Amino acid sequence: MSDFPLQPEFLNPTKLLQKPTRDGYGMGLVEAGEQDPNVVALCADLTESTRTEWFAKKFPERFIEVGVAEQNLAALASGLAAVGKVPFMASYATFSPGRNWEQIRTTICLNNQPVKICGAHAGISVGPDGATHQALEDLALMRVLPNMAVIVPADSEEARKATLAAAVWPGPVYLRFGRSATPVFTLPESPFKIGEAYVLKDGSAATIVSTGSAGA
Amino acid sequence: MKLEELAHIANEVRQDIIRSLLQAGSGHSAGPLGMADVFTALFFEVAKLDPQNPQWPERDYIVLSNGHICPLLYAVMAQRGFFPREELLTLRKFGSRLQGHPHREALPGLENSSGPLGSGLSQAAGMAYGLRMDQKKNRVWCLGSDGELQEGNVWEAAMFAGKYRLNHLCYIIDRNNIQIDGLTENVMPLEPLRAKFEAFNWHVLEMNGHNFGDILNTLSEAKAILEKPTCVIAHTIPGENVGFMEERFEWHGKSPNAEEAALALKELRSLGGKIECSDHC
Repeated sequence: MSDFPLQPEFLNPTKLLQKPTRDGYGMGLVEAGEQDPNVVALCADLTESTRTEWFAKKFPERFIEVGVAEQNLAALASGLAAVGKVPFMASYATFSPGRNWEQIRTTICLNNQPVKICGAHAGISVGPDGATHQALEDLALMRVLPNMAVIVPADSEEARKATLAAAVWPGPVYLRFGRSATPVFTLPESPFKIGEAYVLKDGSAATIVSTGSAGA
Repeated sequence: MKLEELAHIANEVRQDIIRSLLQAGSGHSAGPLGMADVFTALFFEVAKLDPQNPQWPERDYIVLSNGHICPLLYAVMAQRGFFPREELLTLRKFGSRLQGHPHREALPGLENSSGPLGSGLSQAAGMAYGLRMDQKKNRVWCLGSDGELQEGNVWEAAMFAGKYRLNHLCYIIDRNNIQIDGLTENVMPLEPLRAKFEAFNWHVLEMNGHNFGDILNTLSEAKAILEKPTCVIAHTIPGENVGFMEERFEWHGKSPNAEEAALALKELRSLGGKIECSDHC
């Protein structure tokens, strides 16, 4: 039997709170910053929409504006990690890890530095922006890299927990977030552990496996 | 350390480069020989390092951006005592810690993995920024090449370091004028190089990369610049001190065969024919 704690109305999305997973990232990042003074946040000119802004307002001395330069964003984060920082670097997934894949591979993964790569506006949830902005390849690009943990949170509550889990994970992490608001069906007490899957509902007719907001 | 002693070490380093490349059967010759004097000065005189404790928290960070000149990095690290010189003969061999391009996880003392060009300066800037956040005084020395400056990533990093005035960051560029396809100014011109870095808000110095007095003076001056990051353009001769390799871009990515290695070692041991040298040298 599944004992995974869920919102009582989890099968009725219209009755659930709707929030984008990037909001969970923004909240989790602030919490991670409170817990560890070595947590730093970098952004490539998308501070508001990646929700890095919340961290930047609370810890301005630990926020680094990199400008529209995703290759530098990645390799710079590697250097920060090399001197003991826990860098979270955010942009849109189509730019990061889209444009800076080689820097992520060489300077983050092969160096095994604990950089957290946060790809916002991933997938087709950014629909109106068109094909150039719909990162459909980011998971494949990140999954093939050595030392890399890949996480796609199911809702904003899980995104908050995933961000906190990434902050204490010893190696590189890719966190994927969406733009659109999606139903929040997990609870603060719902478990989250990197590398674990959970049974949401028991049944016998079929097995449905999902990742990310498709779980909603 | 006296300048003569540094020159002697650099000569030994050059010989070790030739020996390790001969054993490897592939690898880069011209760049490592050309930067041997600058690396020797940096590792033996300028940078704060402890070979017995490569993770020493007070150390200077040396970031090699153009990883393909690692036969030099390994040779100078071995001379400095990071690992036994005999290990240099394992260069590029299966299971060796001395990979054909540096891999940080493989060898203590390496600060970064490199090979794909253009990302070293970003990593060095990240280190310098992070160290400054913690009010630490460590210096970060990034070593790169001129051909590498054709990578856009370098200029993203240059813009960043200029904006944040990373004064403990020094970027030493090997200005040897060659790259794989020919002369840099034919392949993709870099000049006016000095003006480019000045325009990015860097303090720029130039030095003769084969004159130890000039190298030590220049790197000492770089330490004294507090306002900006410093870019040192090191004018070098690719293949320096091995006559048949000097200034020849064909030797950028090639290793010597047994005959060529013997000739190169003889030239180095005899200081270019100035002194007698036994046959087995």
